Amino acid sequence: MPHRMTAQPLDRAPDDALMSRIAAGDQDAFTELFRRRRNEVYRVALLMTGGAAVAEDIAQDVFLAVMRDAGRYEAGRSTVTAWLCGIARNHARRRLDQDGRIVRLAEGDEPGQREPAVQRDLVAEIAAAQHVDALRRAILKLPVRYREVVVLCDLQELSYADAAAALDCAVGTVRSRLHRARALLTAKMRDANSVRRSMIKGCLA
Amino acid sequence: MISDEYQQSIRELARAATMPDAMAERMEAELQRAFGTAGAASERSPGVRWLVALAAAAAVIIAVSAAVWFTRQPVTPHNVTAGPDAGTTDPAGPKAGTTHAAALKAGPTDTGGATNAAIAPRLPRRASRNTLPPVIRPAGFVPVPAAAALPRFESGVIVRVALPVTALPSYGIDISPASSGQPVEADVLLGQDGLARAIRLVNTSRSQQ
Repeated sequence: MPHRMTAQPLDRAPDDALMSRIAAGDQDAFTELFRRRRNEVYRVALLMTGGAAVAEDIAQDVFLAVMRDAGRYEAGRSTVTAWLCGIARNHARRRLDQDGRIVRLAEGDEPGQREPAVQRDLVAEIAAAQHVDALRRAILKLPVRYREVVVLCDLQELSYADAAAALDCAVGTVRSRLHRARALLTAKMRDANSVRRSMIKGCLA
Repeated sequence: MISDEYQQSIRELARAATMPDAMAERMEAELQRAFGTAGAASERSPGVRWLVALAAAAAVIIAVSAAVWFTRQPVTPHNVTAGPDAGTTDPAGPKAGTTHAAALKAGPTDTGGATNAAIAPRLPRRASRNTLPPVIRPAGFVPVPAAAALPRFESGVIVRVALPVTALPSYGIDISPASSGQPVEADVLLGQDGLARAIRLVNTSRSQQ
């Protein structure tokens, strides 16, 4: 496979340049982009759908789409990350529609029964993990239109403009949905904390 | 609105929701295989794309040239018969422009005035090509000198045109020095490539009218 435009090292090349090189058939550029952005793509898929296996499928589909459609990326319209997240979001929504909007992790499963998407020492950080787990469940229980703005803006830290490009909607829509989503999350977390406190009280009684 | 606890939890969740290494390695290997498979095709694709683009451009140029050429012809082929009496079966001898307009109005694809002006002239012409008789009798035609160097005549159409008298020698027809500069009507036999193969004068006296 001949590599063109090798003036800039791959590891220092911006995402836009990698996309151009991928469009020209540069496999090394593709590998670099995959290594650089795989977690963002996977995160969107995982937190949108709640299933590691589904998220893996979606992430793979996203990078296959990059392989096929890199030439269609418009640099001035959004960042590469936003473009990738937009593709991941579209795939996730399609999967949710196909699966009847069933969110696997959000429906009463216990932490010990899940696939280990988190690779870390849970024993040392059990308290924080419980809170994080509660937050993940709360996010997964949000309506999809709110869930995706939380995933893109809060978890991926995309700008409102990039999130709007990824979601193909107005910036104002992103703002209002995010405001509403955070309010819903706060309420859900408050409920989850009160349930946990009452459970602890019940155990101590 | 955003509490510190929320932000910290969000950061924790984002950090936790990363692709496991085993999954990443597996996926990278699969994607590289897929890229390698598609690579050969994509490596050829720029050249193929250029060829396709060139072919498309050539087709467009040919189509536009043909359209311009046809629309500039004063007479539609279906008003011209291939027989020897072609020039006498049309006693009214309408001017080329009016004949063309009449043919358009009578065309089967006429949309009652809504037809695009650029497209409309070609529509009856296509229909008339389809309805041409399989055998024509080009009696009375004089071969055009330049036709000797052209590919063998296989099929074609006869179109009636108005030519200036001074142009006739280039078609192999001698004229007298005293000829007027007024146009004369002639039937031109066009081959399958659109190039003139033969010509005949329709009716000199009527053409002068």
